[in-house]
Parts: sequence; structure tokens; C-alpha cells
Amino acid sequence: MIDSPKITSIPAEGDIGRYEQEFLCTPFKYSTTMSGPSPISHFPVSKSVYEFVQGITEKIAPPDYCFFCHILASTFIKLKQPLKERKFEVWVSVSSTLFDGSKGCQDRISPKDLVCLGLIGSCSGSLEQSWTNYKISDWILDQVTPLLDVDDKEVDLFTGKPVKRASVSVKKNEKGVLEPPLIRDAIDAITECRFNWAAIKAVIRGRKAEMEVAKHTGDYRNYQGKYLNDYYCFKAVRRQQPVYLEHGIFWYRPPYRTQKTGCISHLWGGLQSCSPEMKHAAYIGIPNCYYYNLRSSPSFTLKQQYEAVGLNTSWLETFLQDREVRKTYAEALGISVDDFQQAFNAAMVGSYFETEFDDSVYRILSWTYPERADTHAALDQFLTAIAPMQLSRWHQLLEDEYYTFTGYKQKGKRYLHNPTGKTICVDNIQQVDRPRELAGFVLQGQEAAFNHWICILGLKYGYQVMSHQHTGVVTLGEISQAAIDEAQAESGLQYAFLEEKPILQDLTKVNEWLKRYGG
Amino acid sequence: MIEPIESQKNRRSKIYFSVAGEVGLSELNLLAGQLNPAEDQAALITVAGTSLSEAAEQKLAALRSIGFDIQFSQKSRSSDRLPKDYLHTGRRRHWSI
Repeated sequence: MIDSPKITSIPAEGDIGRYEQEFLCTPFKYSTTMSGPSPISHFPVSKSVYEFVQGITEKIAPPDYCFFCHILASTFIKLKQPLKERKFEVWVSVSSTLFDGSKGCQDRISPKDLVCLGLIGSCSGSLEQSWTNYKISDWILDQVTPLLDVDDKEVDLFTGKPVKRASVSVKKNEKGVLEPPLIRDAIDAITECRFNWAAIKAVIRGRKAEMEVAKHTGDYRNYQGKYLNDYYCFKAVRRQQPVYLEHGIFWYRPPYRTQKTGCISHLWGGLQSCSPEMKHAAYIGIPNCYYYNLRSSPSFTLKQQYEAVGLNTSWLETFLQDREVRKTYAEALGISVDDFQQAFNAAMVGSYFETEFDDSVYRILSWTYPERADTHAALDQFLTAIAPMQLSRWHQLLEDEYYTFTGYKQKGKRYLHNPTGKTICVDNIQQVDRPRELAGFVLQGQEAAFNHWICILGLKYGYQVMSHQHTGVVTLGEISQAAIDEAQAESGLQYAFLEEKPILQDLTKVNEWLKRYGG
Repeated sequence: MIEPIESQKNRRSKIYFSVAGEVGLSELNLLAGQLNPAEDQAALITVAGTSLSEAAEQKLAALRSIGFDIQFSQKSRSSDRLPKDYLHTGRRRHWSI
């Protein structure tokens, strides 16, 4: 018998609407990402989760079941994003047109029935009521997560059919056009990723135990998110049908897809998006394994871009050269130096207000100033502090003039290239999203191009990239200075600051898990 | 029980700071601004560029005197190329700034 307590955590009616209205009154517009362009139709879960969901939804019609699964899958996806704080509720925004004509959901969906049954909660989203926010009831989320087990059989949440197939890298974009050669070559260069199966399982078991201990604390959602993330990352590796090598070490071929910026992402996270603890465990016992990280890359790339377009770099240089400057600004704002650096990084890519997955300046400041008025005051102070950097001027140049030297204009539309070979159409991006998308395209694209070259040059310089890590790589064999120089020259990165270091500094927690669950 | 192997546990961190062109004082100041004395004094730091200016040489000595293990590595001019069109596996990519 499943206990179904009453939902008590739905925000007051119109609360989110007011939230958005406040943002609209600020100089920067708030933009939200909906739950994807189309409904989710496949999502892997443990068989026990599927059976649990079947049990609580047996009285609801198939279209409503589809809808419920969409909300549950979206909640899992949101929960597993590695954000610093997760004390807030996980709401999924659904456009009123999202399920129109979608396969299996042609009939009318009645979210109200799901709300009445206590399965989901809802509240109106926008001022125009064109989308609504839904959340999975806490009691369901609390019972479902512990049912996810690494050794359990995996089935599709929507159909109950077994999930077995290994994924292959996606080398075409959504229009069916091949990705640029540099990206395809980098993906092809990563043929074999070795990992320690037992050590990863020990970390996941440790994560689960940690989550269960935190069950009745305010940090429960945080630990739940960490467990979900590592669970799905490992499942992504297992789905690739790893092959046993020796001494407990397996290997698999990582599948990647390309982001708009030219970065490559491991499908379902894998050993790219898992926690540092899991990454550390994954490479235990693999001789000649190295982890490289590009340090302060966005700041250095921004400096390079400023120099290229003739903007004044003096403030930025002072900021980069003097650690005390950061400390002074952080103290004046009453936040930690790490938080100031994070807020600075978010501002560089134009992320001032909340987006679905990224940490924005607003959110980072809200960690110290939870009251909305205080956060806004801190944001004003932050923007005043970084004003001499002329960031908004650079964002404007990205939109107005960059196409003249790193792109082209065709049929009245402006297009930009980045060093990965990707192209983006400025005019197809909503005005409010342009600073964030274009800055990300330029800065992350530059970093990605360097990493791609590091992958490709492995064969020439005698090392092998096992895993692409967004801001670095994991290799078998050491990357020589000559390889770094060549990757730098080919990608056009002015300042390459690469460090080779342990993935994890504090090994206390992971060593305890290995001792307890490592067999 | 799973134990990390010794070579990974005790390996010394390495830092490469590679500049496209000459390493001047401002480049070394940039590097110094990013170094964390607590963590990076144990690392082996290599600065690479086509040449090292006199002022940068003095700055390098100053960094050594405060405990950083730092060295300069000269790279060949042929590898010091800024963004350009290039040929790779027979396919052409366009990029210029």
C-alpha cells in the first residue's frame, strides 16, 4: 500500500508569474528554457521503478501516463544537474502546445486528474498562461530514487521494454548535416576509455548510502541529485557493453554528441559528467593515466577576444593578474572569492539571470543573499563593480560586428564561425538570449577546439585520449609540450594554461566508500 | 579493497602555460595571478613561448624566489601560428580573426 500524503509544497498561485514579472522590470530580461522542444518519449529506469510507477498510475489513461512519465523524466534530468544548491523544488515547465499531436498522446491530457490523485502538483507559469509548471509529488520522488539500483535490469519508463542497445556517436546535426571535420576527427580519436568497474560501483553505493542518511535533512534533494547523476552516468557506460581487459579494468567506446558551441558531450553523461569522486574511482588502477585541465580558460579567451576586437583590456588584465583584486571585490559584496569567481564566469557568458541548468550570477548571489531584495541589491553592486570591463559592449559587438571578421552575412542574416568549425546564426537567436548564446559560442568554442586538437594529436605524439572532459581530457600517456604547442597553434588559443593534476584533491570520502563497498 | 596505485598517489602536478608569441612581463603577471601559492608551489611549472623578454626573466626569478618551481621552454616559431585556414585530413575548415 502506497502512502500518498497531500502535496503541501505548491507555490502560492501566481508566485512564479510575479517572479518573472520582477525580472522583466530589471535591465536584463529573464528567459526560461521549457522542457524541450518535444515531449520525452523514452527514458531508462530500473525495472523496479517501472513497476512502482505502474502501480501508482494504474487508474490513469495512457495519454496521462505519457504526461506523468514526461514530468518524472524531466524531474530526473533537472535533479541530476550538478548545481551547488538544491534546496528548491524541482518544477517542470510545460508549454500548452507541447503535447499537441505528439505520438501516443493525441488524446486530451488531463493534468488535473493527476493533481487530484496526488501524483503531481501544478501552478500557472507565465503571465499569458501559455505554459504551466508541474512537479512530481515529493512522496513519489522519495520512494522512486532508492529503487534505482545499478544491478537492476533497465527498462523504458514509457513502454516497459528492455533498454539494451549501445549508443553510437552522433556526427550529424539536427538537420542531418555532418558536423565539422575537427569535431568528427576528435570523436573518432577517442576509441577506448578504460575504467575500474568495481571502484565505480563502490562510489555509487556510497552515494546511495549518503542519500539515505540525509533523508530527513534539508540537503536531501542535493544528495538525491548527486546519486541520480552518478547512477545515470554509470548506466550510460554499462549500456555501451564494456569489455573486460585485465585486473578489474574494462574498456568501452564513449559515444558523443555535439553541442551548439562545438563542445562534445558524452551521451547520458558517462565518465564526462559524473562527480569528481566517481571520476577518481573510474581511473584507479589504470597505469599511465593522466588528467589534464584547462585552467581559467574563459577569462584568458575573453582577453584574447578583447584584444582581437580592440576593446580595452586594462581592467580585465588587472583582474587576472592580481588575486587581491578578486578578494577585495568579493569582500565588498560579502561573498566568498570562489563565489565571486563563479559569478564573474557566469557574467562573461551573459548568464545574469536564472536559466534551467546553468548557475547564473543571480543564483550564485542568492546563495549568500536568499532574500530577493538583497539578491537584487547584490546584483546591482556586482554589475557596478565589473562595469569597467565593458562586457555589455563586447556582447553588443558579438551581435552586431563579429560576423564581419569571423563569419558572413547571407540573405540578410548574420552568421558566426568558431574555431571548432561550427556556425551559428545570430538572427535566429531570440534577442534576450543572444549575449548568453553568442558569448558561449565564442568562448567555449575556442576552448573546445583546443581540446579537440589535443584528442587528434594523440596518435602523432604517442598518447591516447580516453575521455573528453569539457575543460580538459583524461589520457593514457603524457601529453608532451610539443603536442600542447601544436594544439594551441592549430586552434588559435592565445594562452593555453593546462594543468596535469589528480582529479580529486580530498580523497577522504571516496577512500571510505572504496573501503566499505569496494569488496 | 581497492587501493590507488602508488605512482598515481604520489605523482607531482604539472602546469603548462603556453603563450602564442613572446613571453613578456604581462604574460607572466597573468600566470602569477592565476597561481595558488598553497597548491601550486608543489607543482612543476613550465612557461612556453617563442622567446622570453628581459623583464619576464626577472619576474621568473622572482617567482622562483617565492617557492615556485618554474622554468621557461622555448618553442619553435613554426608552431607559433595564430588562427588561420588549415588543411586537415584533406578537408578544409574556415576560421579567421
